[in-house]
Amino acid sequence: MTHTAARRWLWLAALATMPVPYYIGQVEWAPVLRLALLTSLFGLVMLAEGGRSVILFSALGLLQTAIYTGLFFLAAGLVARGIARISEPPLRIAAVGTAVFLLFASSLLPIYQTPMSSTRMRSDLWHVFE
Amino acid sequence: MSRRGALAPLALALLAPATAPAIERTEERAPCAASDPLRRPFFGDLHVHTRYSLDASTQGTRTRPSEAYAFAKGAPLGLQPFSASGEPGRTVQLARPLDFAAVTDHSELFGEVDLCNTPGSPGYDSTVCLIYRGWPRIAFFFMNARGAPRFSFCGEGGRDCLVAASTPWREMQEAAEAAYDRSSACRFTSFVGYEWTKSVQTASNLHRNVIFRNAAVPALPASAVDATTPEDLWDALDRECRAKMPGCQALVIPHNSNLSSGFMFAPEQLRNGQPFTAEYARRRADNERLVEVIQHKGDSECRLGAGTNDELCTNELLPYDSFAGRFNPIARHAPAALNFTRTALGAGLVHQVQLGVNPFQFGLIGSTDTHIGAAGLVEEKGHPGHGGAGLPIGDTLPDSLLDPIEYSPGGLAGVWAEENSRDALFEAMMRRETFATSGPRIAFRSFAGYGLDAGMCGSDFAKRGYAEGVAMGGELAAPPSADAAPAIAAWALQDPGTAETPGVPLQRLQIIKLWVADGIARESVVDVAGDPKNGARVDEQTCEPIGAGAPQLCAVWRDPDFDPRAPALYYARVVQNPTCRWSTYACNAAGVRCGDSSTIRPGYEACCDAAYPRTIQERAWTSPVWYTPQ
Repeated sequence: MTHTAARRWLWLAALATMPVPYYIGQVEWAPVLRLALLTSLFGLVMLAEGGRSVILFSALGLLQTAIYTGLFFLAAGLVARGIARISEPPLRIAAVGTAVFLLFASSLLPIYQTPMSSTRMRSDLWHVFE
Repeated sequence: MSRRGALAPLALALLAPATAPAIERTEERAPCAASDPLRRPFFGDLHVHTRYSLDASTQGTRTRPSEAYAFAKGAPLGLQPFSASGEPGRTVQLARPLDFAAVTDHSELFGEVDLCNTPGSPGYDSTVCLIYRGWPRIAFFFMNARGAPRFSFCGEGGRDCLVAASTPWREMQEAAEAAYDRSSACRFTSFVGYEWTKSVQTASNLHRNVIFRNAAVPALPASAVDATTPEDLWDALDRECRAKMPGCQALVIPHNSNLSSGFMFAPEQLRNGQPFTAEYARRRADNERLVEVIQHKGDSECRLGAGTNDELCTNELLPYDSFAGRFNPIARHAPAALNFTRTALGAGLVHQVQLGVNPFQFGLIGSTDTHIGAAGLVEEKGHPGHGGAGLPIGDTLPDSLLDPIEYSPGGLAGVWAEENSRDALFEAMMRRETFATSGPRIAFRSFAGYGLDAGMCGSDFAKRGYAEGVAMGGELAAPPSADAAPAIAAWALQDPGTAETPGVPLQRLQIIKLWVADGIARESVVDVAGDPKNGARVDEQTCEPIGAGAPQLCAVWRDPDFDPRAPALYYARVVQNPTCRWSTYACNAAGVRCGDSSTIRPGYEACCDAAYPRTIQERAWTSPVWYTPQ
């Protein structure tokens, strides 16, 4: 597995599963993917209707999404560089696979705080898009 | 204290009917079989939201106005979460029916919500409505924050939404009519009403409920989309109600000044930022004769340290002064003095000196502001959460506290009226003969007069109060002599409770006096009956009250520092012995023991937050009596 491939897997897994704090009308601790979903919903309303508050929330969401996406890209790169020091390719794959597995496994627990969810205050990955 | 002459009882008996003028009848109904010229206390809730309020519907509330009234009259009510087949996950029921209630849904988005829920309607397939149905909590934020212009799916000039708004508005009127007992039994009174929901700056609350006297109401409620300031709201009521509809009368009741960032009682007109004028002050006092001092989102009387050192100003206080602070920790500011009714009442006296008119001459009521349609559900034990800006409960009941810990079950409105009819209750509210309670049905009244004495606590309290003084909400006459000082008579009867939940005895009765000296509002708080050190407490594990209190308290307090040249007002407050707060019941039921971290499950962390008390002292407040130098 190349350094680039390892970084990409880790980066995508982190974006999908790592809880981060953000504010978009209310403070949540959830994956960047949820933040992106909320941002796109506000963005859709902004495009359809305009309105100061929607523009503000869309901008806030976009800014935070960009920041976290960039930070995770850097962090994934650092971790991938460490993994690249492992000489055996199968072990490199195993290391990346284990990290990705652990991230997704933990995301199946209700570890996300989602007060903007319409159904639950705490969500797991299955319910994080509600 | 003078001894009464032998003829006095006869004189008082003759005087009593004259002090209770006939109720002006504005509607057709059977006369009430029971009518008391000395008036009785009626308990109700004038702040109730159902499915037609956006914030209620986006957190799963399905209660219709008719169901809210049925609940107020004692019927069970199913609450969210609902199963796929529509079965409620919870059911609540009042142990004692209310005497009166008003459904007051937010008027701003009646039409939008109706269109988004009606397949085939214009706008049903719009982006906004798709998100409203798919991600209602997101819609709550952007729809609530939307002012003018209305969403594009509302059509040109918002026409389609305004037309659609008439459907829920009509249903609210029909539900009120169906619930109103027009028979001679006079068991229940409903009022048609709505909430005008304007916020400014950081979601700083200027909300006001509008209550109509009878079935004569405008074709559509005024909304903050079109009437953007309180002055616009009063204009709309003048135009659409008082001028256009024969018999239409309305009362405007501000609430949650504690969430207004000081704007609710700011000394400027909100329409133009100009200082108050006498004309403005007169209009405000005429329109806003009551203020809701306590409800689900906190107590707005006073805050210890914010302009007062009153030790009892610690009841159900929110840690923020606007809705922005509720949702964004960065926007959290502790409420300043201007957020509270006591400050406003004092400021009103200063305005009286400056303008010759008091804009803040208001009486007090409480209500719930329930967003689940559960009118008058104020029990601390088993509090289901009143929703709204609280916790959304969708498909599942969360394993957590069911309301933000800073919220509470809310309060009730108390009204002293001859009978339980719209005309009688509305007139009582117009003359401010009302009181607020934080939940318990404490009967509480006060009178003021120069000739009142302690003897009236023994007998004929009301008869003498009406004959020789002025009831709460009224204005004291000039003193009869240079050395005369007013006496305030206050009487409180504990909530009798029910067989299952007995009432709690009273601890102490106080008179709060506000007056103007050197151009500044001053205050003093005097214990006049009861005992603040009666040793009463509550077992926080079992919530069992311990210690004795008084079943009733009565006192006649004469103002020793009365200055006939200084405007003043007096209101009374009574507190119960301590009891468990709703959160303590919930935390105990969840097995939380703050000394053992293993018992504090996620969702119950707030149980052990020292910022929130485990016990409370439920209370009631009378409306003030004002004294204005001639």
